[in-house]
Amino acid sequence: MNKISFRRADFIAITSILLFALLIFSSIFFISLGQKSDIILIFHDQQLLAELKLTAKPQIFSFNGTYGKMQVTYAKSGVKVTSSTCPDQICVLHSAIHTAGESIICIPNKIIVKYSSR
Amino acid sequence: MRNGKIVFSIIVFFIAIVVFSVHLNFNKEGTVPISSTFFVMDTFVEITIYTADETTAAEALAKASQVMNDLSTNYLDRYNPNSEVAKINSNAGIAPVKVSPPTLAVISFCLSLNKNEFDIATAPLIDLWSKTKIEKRVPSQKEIQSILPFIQEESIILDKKNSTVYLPMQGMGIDLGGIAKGYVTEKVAEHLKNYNFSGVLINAGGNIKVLGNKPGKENWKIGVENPFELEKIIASVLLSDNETAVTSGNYMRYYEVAGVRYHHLISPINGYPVNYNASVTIISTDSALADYYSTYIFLLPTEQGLHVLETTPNIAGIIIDISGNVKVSSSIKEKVTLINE
Repeated sequence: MNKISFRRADFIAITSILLFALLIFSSIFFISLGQKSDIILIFHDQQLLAELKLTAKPQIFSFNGTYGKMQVTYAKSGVKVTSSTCPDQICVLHSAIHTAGESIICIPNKIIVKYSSR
Repeated sequence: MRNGKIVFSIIVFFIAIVVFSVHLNFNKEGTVPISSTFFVMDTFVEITIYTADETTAAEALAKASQVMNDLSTNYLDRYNPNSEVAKINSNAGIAPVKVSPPTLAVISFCLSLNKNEFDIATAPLIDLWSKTKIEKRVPSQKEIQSILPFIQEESIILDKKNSTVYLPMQGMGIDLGGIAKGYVTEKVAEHLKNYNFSGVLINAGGNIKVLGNKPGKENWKIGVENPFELEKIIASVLLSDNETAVTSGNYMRYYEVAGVRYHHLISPINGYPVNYNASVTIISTDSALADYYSTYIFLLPTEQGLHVLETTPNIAGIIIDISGNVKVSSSIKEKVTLINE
């Protein structure tokens, strides 16, 4: 069986090909990451009520759910339901959400406050 | 020799391209979950489908939401005046009510299990506690005693031949809160099985049902919430295809009077919330059965509940007693990991 012998130039060529593939992969990966920004989506019974951009300074958004009024305080540092007229107050007791995929749900108000990345 | 090197270089190049392409396709086809969220029966429902076919998934999710709404609104939710259960209740002591197969199936299933501590005729008791919750007080002994004679599911007259249900006393009322979510979850799972998606996760307010596999994983890992520290996990359970995990606990729906907590899981025997356990999670292949037993075992003293877990076919589970001790039934010990934080 013939053995394949490699010269320095061959290794350079193979390494270059692998680095080229890695470069393409990394570029696409980091570009896709860079394009995403964190937002807050508020749904009332499957209907999108608001899409809020997160800023460094905390802001307040008030709205009505099925049961009554709710208030969300949102900033890059976290998002929290700060008041609700619902009876159980589970949404208000829920700690602040910080990462994409996390939600705060108020069943009586049929409200979903969703931390998302877009 | 030179040809060998060229061939080798081409192979390396193609391997690099294939690895790159596989990465992209893996993201496109296997790992993108498609979800739908909605509210049914006073519960938040989230269904997640793992599939490459987004169009079919969207169609399946729309139909799933419809199935849940239909079962709730038309048959099982007593708070909806047009549901069959509401009609049975409003005709208590008046006349039998003709019902459809879903209502008959759920009521019949509960009556066949026939447990003293689980009673579907608890609507008047639940209504009393709901009223006193708004009034921020505890029902008096007199109020409880006046209600207890109506809490007797054994007096429900179920006529399977004519598909009718009759409550013989005015004041009686059926509440299917201890089983309806499980039954509806199972029906939605049956619907979603027809599509053969690679993985499905149904979460109906703590009633979890899984189908298939999560992409890249053999099992689904489900967290059991710590009843003493909300939003923290006390244990994780591995579920495989068609398995369900249903939890009943004292930590979500409750109110406090003079520093004492009164939760929503009430004994049909004495009319008061039961304080043996903080939560009970049942693992089974049948979500309706798991829902029933999670409530039933919650209402039992812990050791008695553990005995029921060990001796009842098709159920296993985790009991967290009121002191925080975690008991895991023997058949699932290898699937459960306790998390000590």
